[in-house]
Amino acid sequence: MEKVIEFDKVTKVYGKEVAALKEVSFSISDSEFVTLVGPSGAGKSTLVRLLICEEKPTSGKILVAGRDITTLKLKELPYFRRRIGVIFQDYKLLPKKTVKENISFALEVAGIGDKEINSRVEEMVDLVGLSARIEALSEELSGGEKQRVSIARALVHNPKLLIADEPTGNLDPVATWEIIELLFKINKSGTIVLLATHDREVVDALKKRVVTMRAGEVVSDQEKGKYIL
Amino acid sequence: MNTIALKRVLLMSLKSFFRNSWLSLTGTLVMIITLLIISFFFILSISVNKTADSLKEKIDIVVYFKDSTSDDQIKEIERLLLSRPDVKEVNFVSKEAAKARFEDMGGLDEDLSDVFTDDENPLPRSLEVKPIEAESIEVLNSYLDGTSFNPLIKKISYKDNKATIDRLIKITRFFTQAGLIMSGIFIIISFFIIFNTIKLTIFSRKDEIEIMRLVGATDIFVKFPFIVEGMFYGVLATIIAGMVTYSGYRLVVPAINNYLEGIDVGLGQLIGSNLFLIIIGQLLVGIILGSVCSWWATRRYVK
Repeated sequence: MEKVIEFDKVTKVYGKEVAALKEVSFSISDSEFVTLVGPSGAGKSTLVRLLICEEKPTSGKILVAGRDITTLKLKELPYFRRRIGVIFQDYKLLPKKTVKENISFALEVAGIGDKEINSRVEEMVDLVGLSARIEALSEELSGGEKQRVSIARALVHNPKLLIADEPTGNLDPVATWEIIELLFKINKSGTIVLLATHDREVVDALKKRVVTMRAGEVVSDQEKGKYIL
Repeated sequence: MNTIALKRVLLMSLKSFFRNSWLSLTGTLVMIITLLIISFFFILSISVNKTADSLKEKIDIVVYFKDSTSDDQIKEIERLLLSRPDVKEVNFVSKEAAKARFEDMGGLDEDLSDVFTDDENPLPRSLEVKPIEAESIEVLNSYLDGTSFNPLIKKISYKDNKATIDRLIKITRFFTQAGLIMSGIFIIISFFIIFNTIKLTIFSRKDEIEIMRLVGATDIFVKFPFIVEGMFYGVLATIIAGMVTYSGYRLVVPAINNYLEGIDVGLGQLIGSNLFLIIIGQLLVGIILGSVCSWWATRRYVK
């Protein structure tokens, strides 16, 4: 299958000598579901930050759809961000805005017309199963519901890649499985899912490809892997 | 940026303005105070200038001639004075004109009827010399005093007024400079206060900015609402400061005129005719100050 994402000897050094990533190399193919595991400080979040261009690596290349994103200019960044979806442990929703407004926001900043926004938002809300809560303020939602809103927002641009950075870190087991199920559904429709987590139970039950990191290095990469640390 | 985006940016700025109403109020209030201070100093400055100008108008040298001096000699001196680059105007006052002025001042009463007869008039002929700049009075004085004209002259009245004129020149300079310095200081102060107000607005919306970046908002889409918000402060502040200035003008000018009891230096008219200009100036200063401050703040704090 075609490689969509490729990390090529990516190193990230903070300050003088703290290496968060050391020559990390691996690739992700079209429609893959990859879990990225490892203890805190292993470099998972750094990797995610590099992938969404929040930071630049100290050395190495990161290719997304053939383009080295480490050379992206500041002006190109917004357009690149619209092609990927990201969700975080803390949801990053606007608390005083409704579910609908939070999702619309991502399309509004891209200058898309109201009509198209409405139909896209309805479609997304339906996908994440929140149609009944569309007018609720996001601060009134449960953790699981919030994460579903953030998934809907991440997918509203129809991205090829969904990056999930510890999406279940704040959720109870039931909500966790609801989110994982949703990520599965999204992956089935052809979107690449990169799930960074340290939830052993989830990883072991998934039986998907597992990339394990420790101290800034990839220590194992297994198809249908388990949490081995 | 297309029309939809522009509409959204304007809407966002308006919403933000009302959502952070306390912060917006502070920003606007500071702007109002600034505009009023600048207007006050501007009005003070043009008023002092006007007063100084009208006083400078009154600054002149009067050269009184001896009765033995012939009219032709006086004409010659007038011609010489007019050919100087520092002389604005020379006005000849004949004996008759001097007497008429004296009468106008109410000076000619019965006690002096022996002195002033149809044939006799002790008042001398004179030339009233107006210099272009008040500062050149001294030069003119030494010119008149030091040349061959001296024997023809009875008296040069400048010497008596020297101290007053010097003081006036000093006061004029002081007010102009003080006004400029104070306006400058307050512009700087207000710049920092408004800069910090916008900075606080940015901080209060840090999460929103982060999310905007995350979902792919362009730089201008993120920053423009803050700049527009800064402009709002300017527009709103101008509306209020303009009203205060106008009310102040309607209240203070009659009071000053009343106080001066008819000594009209033309201040009311001067401010009145400049009022529209002052309010347009406030709007310009407000919008420029607001947008520059917020542009600067977004440059520093919107990463």
